[in-house]
Amino acid sequence: MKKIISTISIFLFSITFVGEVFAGPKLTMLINQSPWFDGFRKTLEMYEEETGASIELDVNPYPAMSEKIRNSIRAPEGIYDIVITSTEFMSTYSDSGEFRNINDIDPNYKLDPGICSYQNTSYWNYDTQSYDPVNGEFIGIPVNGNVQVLYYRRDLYEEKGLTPPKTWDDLIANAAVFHNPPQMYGMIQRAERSSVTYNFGPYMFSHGGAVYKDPANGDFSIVFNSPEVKAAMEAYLKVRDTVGHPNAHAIGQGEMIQYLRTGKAAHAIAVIAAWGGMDDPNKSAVIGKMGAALNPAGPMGSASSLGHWEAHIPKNIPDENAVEALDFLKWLVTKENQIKYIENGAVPVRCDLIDSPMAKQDEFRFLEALGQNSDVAQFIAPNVEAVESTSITNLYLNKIVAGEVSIEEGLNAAAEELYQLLTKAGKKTGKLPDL
Amino acid sequence: MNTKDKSWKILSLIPIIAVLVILTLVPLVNIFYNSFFDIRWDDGKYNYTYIGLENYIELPNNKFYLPGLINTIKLSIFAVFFQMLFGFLIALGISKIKRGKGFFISLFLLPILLPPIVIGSIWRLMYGFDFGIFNYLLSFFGVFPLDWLGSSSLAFTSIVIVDIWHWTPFVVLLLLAGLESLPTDVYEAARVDGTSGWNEIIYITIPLMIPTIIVTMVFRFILSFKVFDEIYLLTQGGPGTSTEVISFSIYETFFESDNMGLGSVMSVVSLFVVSLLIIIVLNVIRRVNKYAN
Repeated sequence: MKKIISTISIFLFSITFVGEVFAGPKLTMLINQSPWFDGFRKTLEMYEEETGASIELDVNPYPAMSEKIRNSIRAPEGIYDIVITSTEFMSTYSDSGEFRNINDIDPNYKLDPGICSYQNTSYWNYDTQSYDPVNGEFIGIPVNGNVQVLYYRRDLYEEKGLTPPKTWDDLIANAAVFHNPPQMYGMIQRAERSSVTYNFGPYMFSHGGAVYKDPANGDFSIVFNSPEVKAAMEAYLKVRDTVGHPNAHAIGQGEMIQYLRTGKAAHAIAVIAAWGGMDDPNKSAVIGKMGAALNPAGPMGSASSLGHWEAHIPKNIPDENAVEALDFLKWLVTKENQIKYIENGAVPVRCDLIDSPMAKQDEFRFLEALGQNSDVAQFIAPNVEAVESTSITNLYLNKIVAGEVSIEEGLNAAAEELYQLLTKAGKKTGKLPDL
Repeated sequence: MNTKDKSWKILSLIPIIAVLVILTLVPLVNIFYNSFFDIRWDDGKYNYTYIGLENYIELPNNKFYLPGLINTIKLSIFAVFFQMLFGFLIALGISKIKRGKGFFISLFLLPILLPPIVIGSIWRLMYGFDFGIFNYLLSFFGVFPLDWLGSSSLAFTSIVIVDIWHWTPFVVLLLLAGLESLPTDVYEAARVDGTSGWNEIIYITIPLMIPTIIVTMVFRFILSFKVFDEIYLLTQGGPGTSTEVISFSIYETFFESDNMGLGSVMSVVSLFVVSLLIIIVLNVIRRVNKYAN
């Protein structure tokens, strides 16, 4: 009996000891609960199975992300080995100086040219406080290529012999064919206070408008009250008034997806991350019926707004964890694994998959639109004060859409507050005369 | 009381005083101190720049705080008034029930037992423009769908309705406890004198319940200033600032904008305003009571 117990004890001790010697550090990653999360989790499990590595996910609702990142990266020892930032607070944390330069971990690693550039958000220039692929530090690797695309009902289009709209006027004309509220809305816009700026982005950029004049070169002059932005807002309201939802200013992302999945929306400009549920029989009434296209064009062509996520490796974690974390991120963005990523339901970050045979499959019919919109996607607020500046634009755009103020009043007031904010922050700024 | 007893009483109070100081006074002093600084994270540490009263001077111009303060006060007045009214009526009704009282109490308690996220989801669905049950029911009467959460004029009322629904059970619970502890001999004497049910409520129940009503009302008034969940889950303060409240502004300033100095000023001013209002309310009640007596 004693012999048996001794043998078992030695065996158990051995496997524990062997495990300790060969296992790498267990990593922790902060991530948000979102429509693409399941795809990410499944792909991570494949990585763990393939390499024996172990990464624990701390999954949070979106609003909790910023605070958790802040608390971890500012602590003497970080809780998370990988954190991901959305465009909303990416610039703020990029400038914090708390993320490792990827080339300090692996001096030879470069992003593959097949990965979408997303206006160079992987490289942060601390001097100019802007994204800069030449003089910026390599601090992020994209993990989710979320941009807004035009969703349309391809089954209804085929029925009526229509083609996806090329311009905003085309969109209104096509949507008018199906607009029959409350059974179906021609177009759904999300203009709720927390997200209206993001939804307005494709309209604004396609009309040649912007919030800042030339942020990539450090010119943060406010151009939000330009005639171009005014024209974009007029187009936005025209869409709402002719083929949209009268309640647009109270519609958020959740409701927009609900309208699409229940078949009550003929069109919407929504994040590609929402695609995951469109063909899911448990979540959707429009299986196989949805199509995706390049956003309609304005005078300056088509545009989209960036909503992607970048992964960062904080400075306050052990070096061996940083190496392991980078290994995973490098693995994730390879072409081969991005295909698995798509199959699992996540949003890829490679623009070179549009021409792959995969894009021709009906199941992955969104890929072409994703690639096209990624190419024209722009960053709405690529500045350190993005959270505050977006709260300003959100408030006034929401007021305009709700009819509380006129377009001119709203844009002028927003421009003035943005100017005050940027002046206080010591940025090179200026503003246009009132509309 | 001998010296030993007195010392023991003081000694036994020390732990609770310590907890109070550590968890209440220290954070308060800290927030007050922070309100005079511009606090920024830079080079791996917080940098404090003394700016005197600048944050206080800028506060009235803040696009969220002032509308939030006005909305919070309005919400407190309307919501607490109806909670007290409905709460008293329901408590009175339950106190008269002879059988199945436990069932009714459990039923009325449901709203305060539900997690806020569930409450937000339920009401957001019910208020939905196209999918909501309210507009569905209204359609039977030929009423055009109401924009419950999207209309600047209606969204605030919608939030007040949720708050009344959410917190009336709390009022019921406290008032019911008060009602059940009232002396029965007074009622027996009144009945012998032939007092009607209505007069019993007006001349016996309400006067006897005044202390409980005051405590409950002050309690609810203070708690109503903390309203956050309903706003966060239903409207995020919109449309415009029509449902903005101070707790939401403070949350956004501290945790989203990472502006600790301004967030501290908002907290200090809110504390001051709430304290002032409580003093005013208590004084008014005291005067009314004095007059009534």
